[in-house]
Amino acid sequence: MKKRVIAALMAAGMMLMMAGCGSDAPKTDSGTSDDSVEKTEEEADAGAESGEAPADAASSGEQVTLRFSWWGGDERLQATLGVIEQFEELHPNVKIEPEYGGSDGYADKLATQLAAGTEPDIMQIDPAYMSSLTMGDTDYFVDLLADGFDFSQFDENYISMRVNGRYDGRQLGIPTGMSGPALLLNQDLVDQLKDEIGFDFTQPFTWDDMIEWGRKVHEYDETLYLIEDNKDMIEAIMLGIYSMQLTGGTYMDEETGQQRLSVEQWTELYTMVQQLYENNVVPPTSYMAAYSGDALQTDPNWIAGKYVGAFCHNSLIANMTAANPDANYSAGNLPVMENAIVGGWKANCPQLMAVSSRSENIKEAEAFLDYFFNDPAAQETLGVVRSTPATSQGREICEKIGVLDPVVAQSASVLEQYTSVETDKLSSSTEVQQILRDQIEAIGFGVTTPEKAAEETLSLLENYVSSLNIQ
Amino acid sequence: MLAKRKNKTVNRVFTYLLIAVIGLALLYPIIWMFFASFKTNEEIYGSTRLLPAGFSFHNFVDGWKGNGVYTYARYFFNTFKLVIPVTLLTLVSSTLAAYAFERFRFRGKNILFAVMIALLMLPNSVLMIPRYSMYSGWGWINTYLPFYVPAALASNSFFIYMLVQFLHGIPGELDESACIDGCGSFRILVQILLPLMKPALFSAGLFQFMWTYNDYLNQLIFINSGEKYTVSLALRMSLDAEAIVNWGKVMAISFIAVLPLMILFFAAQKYFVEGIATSGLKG
Repeated sequence: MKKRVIAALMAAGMMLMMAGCGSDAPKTDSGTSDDSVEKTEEEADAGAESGEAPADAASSGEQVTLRFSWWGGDERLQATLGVIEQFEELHPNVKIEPEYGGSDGYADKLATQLAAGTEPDIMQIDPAYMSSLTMGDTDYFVDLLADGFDFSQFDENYISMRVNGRYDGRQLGIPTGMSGPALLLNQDLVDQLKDEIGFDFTQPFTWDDMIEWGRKVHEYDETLYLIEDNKDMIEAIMLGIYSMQLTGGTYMDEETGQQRLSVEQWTELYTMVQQLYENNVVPPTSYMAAYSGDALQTDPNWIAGKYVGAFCHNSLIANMTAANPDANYSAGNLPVMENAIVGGWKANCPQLMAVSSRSENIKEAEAFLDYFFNDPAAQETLGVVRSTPATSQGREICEKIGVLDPVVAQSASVLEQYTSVETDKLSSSTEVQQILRDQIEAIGFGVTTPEKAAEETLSLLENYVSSLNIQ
Repeated sequence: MLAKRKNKTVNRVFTYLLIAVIGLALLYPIIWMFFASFKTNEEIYGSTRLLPAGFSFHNFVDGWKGNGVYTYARYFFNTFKLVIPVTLLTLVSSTLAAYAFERFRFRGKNILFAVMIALLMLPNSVLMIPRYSMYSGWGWINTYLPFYVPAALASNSFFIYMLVQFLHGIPGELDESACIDGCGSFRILVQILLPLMKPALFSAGLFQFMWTYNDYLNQLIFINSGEKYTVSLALRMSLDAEAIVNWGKVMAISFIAVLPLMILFFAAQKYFVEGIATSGLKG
């Protein structure tokens, strides 16, 4: 009898375990934020109260300890510790405890700390992860805009984007840097052909202008092309931006899986691609097949200076220019169609800095971030350890001390001119990328028409969305 | 007769060859890691040769210096400060718990045993948040207490279970005769059973040492400041996705980091293998 009771108990226990493993375990993350919701509400109130504590405790001599956590390699560690030291010298009453480590598991640790209310006062956060931390009623982070943080060094277009920390008008994070697409130009060739072709990349221009210039360049000299790009970069950079300019959004709605583009609009997108190939704006698909993905700089024609420019990510500019070091380079403006709804071109930040709303020393934490982002000495120490600085002052300083490639700095400034919308995880998924790249390739080889490609794309995208079971 | 012997020799040569090949295949990653620690990044990526161009120890020297704040001497000291007490405490507490379960009769023993076995199946990720909030409430964060205390309280049921199984194989008559000679229950454990349990204790100790030594997530979550970092935390810092990784240095330190485990394993191999092989047997 006793044995049977135990057996029954064990069986029940096991079923509980299995149920637990089956459904809850993979969702630990969301579970975390759910659990923490209730906690946060009460504690956020407490945090808000303490936030109104004496504004300039930093100068009152009261001893204060701040915790600051980030991930990164050794170079970033040295530079960040340097800035902490400088700040502590200026504010002898503030002690900053660094909590550093690898990126591996950082998000898990942060989620645990936030759930338990023991997060550091100042945190470096991955922008992709930030949105899940701001969902629902959670209120983990201080609105730096409301607290009057000095954002004058930042471009408003840039920091007002959600991915850069602005959530519903509240600045919950500060972007540490910027990276994004660029039009890298071989300035020597631009100067040489300027009068012949009549292009000007320092002024705004449209896609049609670009195609016209490309046709003329190739007519002028058959070995030359205006743009070096393969199907991957056409998809990753041109197609997505063109679609944003046309519709004001990404291909699909992230929440509902609804398609934003009609067959006609897809046809227009692919017609643009077809014109790139037909007018020899870009080299033939068959030629570029050997230099796919990020391998643009391995193309012997790039090394020989046969392209006026190339669309690439600005993190690759150093590689691209190093492949042909004899030429001079610049970053050009980017094409925008007439009547575009948004510019579409945009930079993203690799990390955000945020202040905990439950911190007891919000003012001091903000004072530190002010020093971190706005002080020239801090900028000089930090250099580019968190990518191209997001402030114009930071970029100038980094350029002056020679740690920032001037072309990269220029490309960052160019990106600041445009307004854009957020990317979404459906439209940027690898499945969607593959669907579009296949169609671009088929158009490049001339085996399909824009109309057929448009229809096929739409049905493939709908298939993809329905396989995801979005409500 | 001769043919038979020859056949046997051929068989044996073949067997040893097979064992050697499999052994080499299993050891290859470590061998590769050892030689990679003498290479530069260019050599690691650019060539498929196993042997490095030259044997210079600068990767070991530079790697040991760490990130410029603390050297690896500090991180190794911290690791042993964490791992050795955890291993010893686990052994003591698990032995006591196993002894109680196996040799004593008390009310609710079966239920408690069933609960303990059920705990074996509880995944670590489920415990993470409750444990963290508990420990942070007690002010244990950024200390080694979240590792020491659970070890001292035999919270890893795997070891209790393993030792119970082993004790089960030691005849109860030994206890009884010791009892007749006037031994108390504690003395029976210490003087009669412990010497017999050596193989099981060695394997439990080795497991716990290895698991704690290699553990990353728990150490990451409970330890905040760099001065308390262990080797596994420090090593992962050199592998940041956003920085240029000097693989030669990483390999050099990784090789130093696996050395204690290898030495420990070889030194205790005799007991270790015996422990695994016999802990499931009934006497």
